[in-house]
Amino acid sequence: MRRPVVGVVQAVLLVKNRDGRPIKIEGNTESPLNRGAVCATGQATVLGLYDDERLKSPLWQGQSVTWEKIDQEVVKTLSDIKAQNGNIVILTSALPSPAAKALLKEWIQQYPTTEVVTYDAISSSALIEANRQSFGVEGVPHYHLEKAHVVVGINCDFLGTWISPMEFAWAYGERRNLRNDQNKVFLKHVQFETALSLTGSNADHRIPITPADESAIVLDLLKSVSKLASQSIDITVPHHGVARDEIESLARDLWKNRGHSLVISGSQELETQMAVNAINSLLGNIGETIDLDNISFQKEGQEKTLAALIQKMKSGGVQALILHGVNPAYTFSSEEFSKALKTVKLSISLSERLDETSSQTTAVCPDHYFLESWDLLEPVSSLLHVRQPVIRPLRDSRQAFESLLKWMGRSETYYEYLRTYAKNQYFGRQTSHLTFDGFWDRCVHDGVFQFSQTPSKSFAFNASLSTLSETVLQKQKRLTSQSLQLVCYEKISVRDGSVANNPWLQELPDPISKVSWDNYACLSPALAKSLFCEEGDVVKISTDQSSVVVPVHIQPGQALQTIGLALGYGRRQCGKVGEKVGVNAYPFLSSGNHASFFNAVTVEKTGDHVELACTQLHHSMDKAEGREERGILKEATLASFIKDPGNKKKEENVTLWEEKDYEGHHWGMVVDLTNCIGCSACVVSCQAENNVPVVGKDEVRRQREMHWIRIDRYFSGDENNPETSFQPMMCQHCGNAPCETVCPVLATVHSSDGLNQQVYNRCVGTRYCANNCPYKVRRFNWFDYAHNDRFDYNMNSDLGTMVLNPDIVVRSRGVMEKCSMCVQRIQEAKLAAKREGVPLKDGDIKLACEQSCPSQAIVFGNMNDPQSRVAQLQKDKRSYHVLEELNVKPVVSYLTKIRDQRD
Amino acid sequence: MSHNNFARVKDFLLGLYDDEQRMVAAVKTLRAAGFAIYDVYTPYAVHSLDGAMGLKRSRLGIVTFIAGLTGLILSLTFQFWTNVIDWHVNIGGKPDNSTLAFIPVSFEITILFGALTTVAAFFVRSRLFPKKETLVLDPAITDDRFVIALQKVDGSFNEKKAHGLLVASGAVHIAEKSVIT
Amino acid sequence: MLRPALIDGNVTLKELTDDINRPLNTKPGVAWTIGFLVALAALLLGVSLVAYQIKVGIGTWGLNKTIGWAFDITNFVFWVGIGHAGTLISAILLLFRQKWRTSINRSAEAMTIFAVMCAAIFPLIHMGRPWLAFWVFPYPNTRGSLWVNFRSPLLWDVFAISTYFTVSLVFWYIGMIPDLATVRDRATGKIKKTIYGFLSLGWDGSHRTWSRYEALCLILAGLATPLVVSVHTIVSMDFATSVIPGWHTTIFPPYFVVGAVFSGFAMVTTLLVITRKVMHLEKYITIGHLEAIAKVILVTGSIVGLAYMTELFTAWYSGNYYEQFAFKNRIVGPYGWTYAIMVFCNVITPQFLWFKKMRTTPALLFVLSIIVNIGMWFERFVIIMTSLSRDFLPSSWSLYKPTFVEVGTFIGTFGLFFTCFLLFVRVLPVVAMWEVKSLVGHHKEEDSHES
Repeated sequence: MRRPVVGVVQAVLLVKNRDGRPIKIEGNTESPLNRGAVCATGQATVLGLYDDERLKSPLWQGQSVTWEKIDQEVVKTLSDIKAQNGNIVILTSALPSPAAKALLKEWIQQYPTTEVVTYDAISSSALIEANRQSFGVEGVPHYHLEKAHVVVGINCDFLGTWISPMEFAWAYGERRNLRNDQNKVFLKHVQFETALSLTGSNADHRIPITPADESAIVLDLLKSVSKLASQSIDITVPHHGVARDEIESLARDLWKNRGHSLVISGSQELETQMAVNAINSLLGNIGETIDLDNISFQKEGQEKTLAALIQKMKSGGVQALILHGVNPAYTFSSEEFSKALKTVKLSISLSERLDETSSQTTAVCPDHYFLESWDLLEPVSSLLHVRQPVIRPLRDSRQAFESLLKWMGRSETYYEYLRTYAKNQYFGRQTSHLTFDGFWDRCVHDGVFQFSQTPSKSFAFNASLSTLSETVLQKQKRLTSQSLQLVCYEKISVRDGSVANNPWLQELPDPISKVSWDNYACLSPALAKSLFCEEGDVVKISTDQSSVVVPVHIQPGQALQTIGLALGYGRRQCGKVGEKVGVNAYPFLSSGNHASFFNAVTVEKTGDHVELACTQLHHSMDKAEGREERGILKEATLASFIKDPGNKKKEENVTLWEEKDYEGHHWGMVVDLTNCIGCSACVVSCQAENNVPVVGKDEVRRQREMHWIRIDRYFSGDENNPETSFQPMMCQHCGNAPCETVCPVLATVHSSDGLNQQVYNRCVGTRYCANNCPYKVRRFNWFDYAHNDRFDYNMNSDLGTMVLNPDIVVRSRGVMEKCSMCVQRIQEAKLAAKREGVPLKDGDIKLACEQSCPSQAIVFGNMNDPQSRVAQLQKDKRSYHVLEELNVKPVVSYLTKIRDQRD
Repeated sequence: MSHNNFARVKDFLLGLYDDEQRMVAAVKTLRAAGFAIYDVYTPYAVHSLDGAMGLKRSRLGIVTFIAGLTGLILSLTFQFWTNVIDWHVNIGGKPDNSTLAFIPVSFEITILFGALTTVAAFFVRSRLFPKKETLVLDPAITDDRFVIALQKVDGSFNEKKAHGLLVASGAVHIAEKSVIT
Repeated sequence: MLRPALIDGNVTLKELTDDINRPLNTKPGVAWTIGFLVALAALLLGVSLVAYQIKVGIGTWGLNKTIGWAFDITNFVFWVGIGHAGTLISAILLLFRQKWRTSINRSAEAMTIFAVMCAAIFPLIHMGRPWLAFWVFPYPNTRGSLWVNFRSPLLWDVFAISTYFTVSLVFWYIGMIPDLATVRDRATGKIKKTIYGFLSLGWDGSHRTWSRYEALCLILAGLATPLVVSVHTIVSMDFATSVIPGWHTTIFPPYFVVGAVFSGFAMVTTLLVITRKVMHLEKYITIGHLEAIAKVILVTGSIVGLAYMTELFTAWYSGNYYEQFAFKNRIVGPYGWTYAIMVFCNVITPQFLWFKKMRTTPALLFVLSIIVNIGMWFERFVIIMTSLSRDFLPSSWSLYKPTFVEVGTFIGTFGLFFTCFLLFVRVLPVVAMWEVKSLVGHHKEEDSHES
């Protein structure tokens, strides 16, 4: 097996290849950005490689042509335009590739009338602009959450979707890890937010706020912090929903931890971001938890420039338009963009597929998939990633920048270009390698090269606090609103919608709503009641900009008087999987400024009703559900945990018969509920590793999704601001497995190393085992999911099936399946150890779920080895088994969830 | 009608009755007079005939017991052998020899063996089998007639006396019949 | 108390033979024909839906990741339960020398056979891969050491149901041999003569055979009695030995057996009220018979009611949260209405049988028996489905709705049942003539002694 190294924007990856096919994406432990983990979206990108909808060849005016022909046409037209001094625009998404940026500069030398416009569908433009105005640094800082003791998030889903979630999740898990050192400072997390996000659901203290109040709250916090910093600002903060005490106590907490605190906001209001910068500056966080010297290139876009571009196009000011990594006809405005595009003489899309935009352009020059191409990336200053291809291109495609090189009349390949670039720009910055080849080989081998960074230092805050407060106040006055407010957010699965044609992501239930295959209007229970809306009622949501018709999802924790709507859905053209799934919320954003929210929203019931594809029908775990008695979720506050770390003394279960001995290995697992953030990376990782089929919206509605690991999500307490608990649930491999006893044909039996094995070949499908499973983790093949037109996903196409793991069988109709604890990985590691003649070490085997977990919540190992992490952790006082009193003896232990809350 | 050399002809004197009680009384009378009753043919089981004819109690129950016991032992042994000797796997942490769990199947097999063997024994003993040439002494036997059959054994059979006794005991009809067996 | 007359009026043995043989030698009536066509249509519906389901997958049913059994196993337990009344009438009442059973035991046994056939369909088709159903038998094979799981209640079911079916069929057939001889001797036409001749095994009415035959019947009755108790006990163990709250309870074996008798007698009532009318057998299946059955329904219905209360008490007294929740959920959860139907049909309705009027009016009994049948179906549905729908982890709680395929398949089994039953009344003697004759014979004799 070859494991070449690949890098993409958000994470550095290792790709597992079998028979020349990439089949599994894993994180590269060498990278400080994701440290071996990959998010759900990243996990699923391997399936994108085998997407049937990728273009098979370049298109010229909709016709399939050769690259020679298209190059001829393009070069001819571009030369004409150049000759007439016509304008050329390259519209691109954020480019973390320094080589590509350099190439664009050279392009401008070749075609001097070229303008490069950077546009992110979901941008951080206010943050970037605020940093420019506050500190004179135009960019996204590199945040160091791992150094923080207190973090305050304000409408900022930093564990789910904001900037670099994997990195934050790792730091978050690290700072809240009670396993290694119980005396270390436990990161306290306070979240102000409108829609319940993955991040907010993990917060120790979450305060729902309306977006209109956001700036007032930030201002209030600024006022309190400035008072503590003896730089009091004299201002009357307008009324907002949060109690004065809470703000003040939070300010004290932050002040106490100055230099070790972090306030971050996802706001798209410049003034709010400025105020946040002021707070961080007062707290002395700049240079500590916020690194402005080594900035991040993960977000660069400025959507205002796109609005200007559209205007320019409309007035006939653009002759040629080259689009790379953007889809404005979907993410901006289809109508506006189409109108504007008509005036452009030559438009070229570098998209890999026909989407809303590329279907309208003169030419489509399909880019390689990222797994097929070389690139050089610098997502954060001084951190170089080298990406190498792991498969020959499957289609007649060409690396986007190689196309540009061709059109510049250059004969070199993009690989040659970026190698030269690395030689000129990076080789000199290091001292460990004497020759460039040695340096390059190292980069390609590791995928990562960390150059010495500029030491981060503090930056002076440029603006006057009082002037700033005054501006915030002015802005706030305009925003204050009594009407309903709409916020648009990203989901951890399809994110901005560019990966909408990926069935794994569409089927991945949202960790908060547990709904898959859709977006919906999130309404708080109180608002839903006042609007007489029930779950699934279809409503029309309108602003003066736009309107959508969308089903309602009643979301505990959604701020009152607000509506949440996910972006990334409602694709009109992207392929059979993603089209007609949900509605497009981008038109709300297309006003030119990516406001975080919209005032004056009206909601009307249409009278229709649809059923959402929700994988969990019961959401609460409270008194009514017997939270205490059930013994499923165990939670404690930090204070009580420090005072008394032990659970009550466990009652010894007695058994009627002699217990079985497991000689050699006895596999076990520990899931730390304090660390699990519910990000669902494990779910997709498991799906990829174990050939778990996609069943589609209708079957999910029928409660038949096939995931072997699921994240149970429970709400408790106040339904308008509930506590959220996540519990990853997979086969518990019970020692006294109830499923095994009842199978008439012995299709499920116990292995000598303590695994509950499912023998697909022997299974006749009585489903008795699933009925008798107290954890309900068994999944039945209700239909043939492979090669069946009813399930037209990746397993129904020759290309799509290339992603299947050959170590695992594709289950046939009528058999039961479930988590095998990646038995193929166990066997593989055992074989390798045997070949080398050494015993297996703890950590040699990493299960797919464990591997992808960014916060290290899952640990697998041999319980018979007293030194193994699993054996140690199972002795931890937080350790318990779910449904312990059934005495089914699960090998999976859970560690009590700890929250830093008042008792 | 040509008979082969091995065929034996039995000649019967038949007394037909239309009443159970009279027939039973006739059987008693005939036996008291020294006649051997070849058989009595009735539309239903007449309980008092057992005594009247001097039949012994059926031994089918012994067959049932032996067969049932065989089934029990076989099934228990088989389950023990498969689970403990031939193929012992860890099933839900249960011991290999889960005797209690083997009881239901053993019970069913016991019943099945007992029932089927008894039925088979009955068929063999009573010589009932498909396509058997039926001895229809009178079609009304399966309707409402009770028939006492006396075999005319060469030499010792006093036909006249028998005839007389049958008439006297209330036979509605008397017939003679030869049957080739 | 005087026993009710076992047959109405004075019938001679000959009249009896003629009455019972008549349907076998005449053309079917309009009512029969219509009934048969309806039943056949339902059967065809069932067959085509089962074919569709086997071709496409169990996914055509409404089951899901949480609820792995619902309509299928409910129907299975329902039909097995129905079967129990037949065995009870033919075996247990024989052992107890209950003479009133004679005129109804043949049809009740037929009901058993057909009901068990209907029941056996469900464990077969509920399998994901029914074509591999033979794997549940421990046959020698070449796949290395590979046997079945003798610890699984489903395997016990396999043995219990197949033994039950075999023994019931044999018992039924043995009981029919003398009557088949009667039919043989009266049959017109060569084909009928050959078939009945073949089936009657050369029965000649010999008393020596009769004597052994009676012994055989007693032995079979003696075997069938514990068998019938074991069958529903084992069926109940499918649930009782599991860990699911609402299933895991020791009361199930007696509770299921009584419930089976209860539902079985209700079905007997349904069938007999129709049969005696359509086949003109009022003389032989009298109001007295119906009343005796009604009394059994009343007693078993009351026991069932007691079982329901005991179940609730046990859950409360156990102090076990899951048990308590399971029963609370049954009553007030999303499927509370099924529990209400169950209690109304099975506990309240039979209490009307305290009234003699109710017990002796066939039309009222018919309605009541239908209600009890519905109630007993719901009892199994409540036990199976609601327990599964909300067990340990609230995250997995789910809802269930049957699909057209499931409902149609259930209707199909009624089609099978009635098709078989209607054929039975046309081709086989529907009343055990020899048994009734023995009563008539004795009866006549008693009369003559009294006069």
